[in-house]
Amino acid sequence: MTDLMDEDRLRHLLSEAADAAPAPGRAAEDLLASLTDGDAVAEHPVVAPLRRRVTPRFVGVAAAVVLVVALIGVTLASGNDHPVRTASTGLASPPTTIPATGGAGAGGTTGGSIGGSTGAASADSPQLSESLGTDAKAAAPQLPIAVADAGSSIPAAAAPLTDSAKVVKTGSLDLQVRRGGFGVTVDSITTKAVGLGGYVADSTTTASGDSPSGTVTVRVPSTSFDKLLVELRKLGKVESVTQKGTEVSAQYTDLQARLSAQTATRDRLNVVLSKATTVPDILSVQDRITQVQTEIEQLQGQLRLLDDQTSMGTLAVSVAEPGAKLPVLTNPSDRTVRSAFREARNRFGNGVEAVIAWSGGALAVLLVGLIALVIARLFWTRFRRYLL
Amino acid sequence: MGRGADADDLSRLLVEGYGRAYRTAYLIMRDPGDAEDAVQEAFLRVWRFRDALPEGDGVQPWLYRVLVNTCYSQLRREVPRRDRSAGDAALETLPTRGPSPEAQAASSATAAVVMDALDDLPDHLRVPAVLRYWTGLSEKEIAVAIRRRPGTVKSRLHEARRRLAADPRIQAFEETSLEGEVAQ
Repeated sequence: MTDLMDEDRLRHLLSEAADAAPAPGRAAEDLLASLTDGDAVAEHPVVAPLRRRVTPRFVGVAAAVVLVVALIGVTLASGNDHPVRTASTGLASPPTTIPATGGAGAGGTTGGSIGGSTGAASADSPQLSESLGTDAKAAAPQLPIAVADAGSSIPAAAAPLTDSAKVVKTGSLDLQVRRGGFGVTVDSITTKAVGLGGYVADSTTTASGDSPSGTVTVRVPSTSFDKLLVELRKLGKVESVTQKGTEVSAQYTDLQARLSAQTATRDRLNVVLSKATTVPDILSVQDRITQVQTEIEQLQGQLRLLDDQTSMGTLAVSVAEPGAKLPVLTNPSDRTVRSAFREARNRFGNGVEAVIAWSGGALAVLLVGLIALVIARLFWTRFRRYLL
Repeated sequence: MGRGADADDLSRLLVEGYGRAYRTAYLIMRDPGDAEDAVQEAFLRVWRFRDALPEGDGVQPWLYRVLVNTCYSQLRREVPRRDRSAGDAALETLPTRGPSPEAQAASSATAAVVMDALDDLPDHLRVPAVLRYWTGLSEKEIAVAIRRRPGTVKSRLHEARRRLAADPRIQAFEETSLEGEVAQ
């Protein structure tokens, strides 16, 4: 026996097998008669089972598609809720409404958070209007949603604003001035800051070649911060502007409470000290009083710092003539290593949150892709098998 | 026959080709009832899509492509509710519309052996083998019918012949036939 069956032999065997099943008599004629008889296609019994079998599958696919669409909708809806949810945690800092020039129409909005969110407007964004001069505390620290319309930038929901709110205002401004105008601009910055009750906290000038540049850090009362920013914008071409408002009311209150507690402790210890009779007791109480006093002074220092930061806004202004590279500004309030670590930690948290938020969308996309794959496979199979 | 075939021409073609198509389907499906259903459905599709009928020599492969597709569809539907490897049991339960008892008796031995052997062949080998050695399509036409490359068809035919040659039932049948011929 060879490895392969002989072709002629196979033909013979298949012929015999096929002959064992003679075709039904007149089946062809009957079938043709039904086909040619008007609406035979619709009435032909063969079609019905095919459609009946297909229907549940398509219903299943349709249900899956609807499910995916619903999932996407839910995902998108939750994504839209995100800003509101963030604001409702009380971490939101005062969003500042930036209406278009002339005060009409909508402008951009900027906002910040304790975590370090910063609102920034590029030079191409709408010019800041005089409304930036609004009092910082009146700019709604707990404003849940920044509204675009300048005329209604503080809705009724933001009413519980109080003067006790402590907001640290910082910002930066990159200005490009005309050639030869560097010195005049720096002088103007100083003059305007002083005129608003502020002072120049830091000044750095670099004169390389014919294109001097420099940075002037000015501090003005927080109530005049926005006004100063608006005035300084007129001094040159604004390359970028950044504003940041960080509410520290909770931190301030906490420091005050701790200070009160430590002060009370110190007073009690003083009473104890006055009643101590033995040298060891006196030394022991004295040590304790020293510790408490140290803590009190630290707390008082922190409170003074916060008072200073909240009462005076800090604005770093970078000035450069054409051809000079604008100095890189650092946020004046974040210059310490400790602050940098805190910001790093916050940004890490933000990054994790972003990844988690992103994963929802990615999951939806993955699901859609999976469904599409199943549908494509289903249709491809049907296409291959059924297509004529 | 060109595109948009005339109904009369197509009717004639289908009537003349019914018997061959039915037996082809029977060898593929291994069940007379299923074969009849498959041919009916295939002809229905051909009729509905007669505008897509190709010209010239492409008609036969096209018709058998429709038939093969229909058979595949039927097989997919039938397999879950019917054990296709039932062997002799399947032959014993042939519906009444199948071959007559006389016809079965005449070629039952050969048919049973061949059908059992075909039953063991997977669809992708059985279909090309039937189309090649029963229907008489060329490898190229089979390639069109099953939407595979001619090289694939060739290898499948080779594999089908190898498996059939190695089938112990076929071997036993061949030996018996040879002994009978020698005895005569």
